[in-house]
Amino acid sequence: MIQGIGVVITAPVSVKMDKETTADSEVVKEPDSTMIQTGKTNVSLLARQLSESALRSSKREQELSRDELAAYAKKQINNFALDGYTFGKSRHDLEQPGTDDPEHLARARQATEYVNQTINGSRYAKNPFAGLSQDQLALIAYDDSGGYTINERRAAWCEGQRMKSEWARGAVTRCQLESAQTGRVPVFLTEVLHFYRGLPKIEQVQDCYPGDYEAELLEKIRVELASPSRESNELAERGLNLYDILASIAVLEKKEAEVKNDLSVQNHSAQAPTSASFFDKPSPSRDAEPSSITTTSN
Amino acid sequence: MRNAKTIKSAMSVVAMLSAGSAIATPQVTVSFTNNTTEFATYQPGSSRNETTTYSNASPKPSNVPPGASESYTVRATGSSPITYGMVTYRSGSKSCQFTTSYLMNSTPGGVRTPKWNKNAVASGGARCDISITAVNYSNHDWSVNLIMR
Repeated sequence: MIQGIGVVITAPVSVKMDKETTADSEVVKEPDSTMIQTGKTNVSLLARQLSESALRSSKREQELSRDELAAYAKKQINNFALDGYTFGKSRHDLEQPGTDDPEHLARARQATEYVNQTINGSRYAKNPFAGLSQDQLALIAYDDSGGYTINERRAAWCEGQRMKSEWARGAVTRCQLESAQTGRVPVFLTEVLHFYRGLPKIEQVQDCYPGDYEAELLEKIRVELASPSRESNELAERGLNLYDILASIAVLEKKEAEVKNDLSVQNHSAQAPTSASFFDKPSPSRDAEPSSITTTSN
Repeated sequence: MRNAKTIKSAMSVVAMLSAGSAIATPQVTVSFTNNTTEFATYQPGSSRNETTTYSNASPKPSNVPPGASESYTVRATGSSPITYGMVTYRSGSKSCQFTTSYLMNSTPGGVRTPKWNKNAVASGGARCDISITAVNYSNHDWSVNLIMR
């Protein structure tokens, strides 16, 4: 299953993939030979697997169009997370890596334990891939070459989702503070933009992100910056004088110049997101004191 | 020409600031927890309410592993007096559609009062809980917890 698994190779404790980003693609280089000769044997297998996965990922991203890569990702997610996984569950739990390397066997067993513990609701299941970066986790999850078991790929993907969720929780809390303090959220949206730009390409192309997502975010940031801040609202409440009006003009002109500078880098044609005024089908509403309702379907 | 532009800018700023005492469109913070035994997949949906929610969500909702959760905000741009979130998650044969909305009511006497609503529709044997966990009476932002079982 894993090519050349019997070869003894030592490798770095952590594999750092060197990336070269060009206008159209991202090329991942193999770790250099000096790195491979240092480190400990017990992580060498994973390091070498990651290196091979990086080459396959790079090749895939160069050869496939955005839509093809999105379709590939969707198929893989179905295989290790959705219906495709459920249908073959018992087979996946019995799957062993094609190796007698005790490190890999232990890791695969840990991955199966982790998957089943999380399915049973355990919040303390230990993920064998905890500590890897988003890029490394994506390399494992989307590698269908057979070097990893399905449960390993699922565990890697779950760890990636957990990291995203952890970031989102913090970002959303910061967003609430920003909204309460200023009445607008350009800093939060900029953080979302940076997070998106830092995702592996195979995650950027997935269905949850529209093709013009980056342009859409930039447009939202522009709209937020152009909207009056809470400071402006306070001015309106206490009454205006000539100084306030002239100061506001200066601030607006400065912001417009900043936005023009930002947008000149990106050539996009996104429209400002709109909001509908009414529900298609008004749903039964309830008064909104902090409370909860439960709906059950049998 | 320059003077005319400056006067025009000043007038627009005065108009903007005069109207600025109105509360900007509030945002809802969503926290979804998947307590089923399978992945919960976010369904973008086809109704206008669902597509608008998706468009206004940051970061974008996605798939949630069993026992895990995800958070995002839904914030409408512009000065619409109503804002809402309508999201659907599916887990195996189970499905939950959650709706929450905010509306500023005006009474005949001119008193304006905010109102926050919530609703959940379950199908396929799902149990769907929605709760409003916080409201900010200053800017009318609110938070909801969605739990799928």
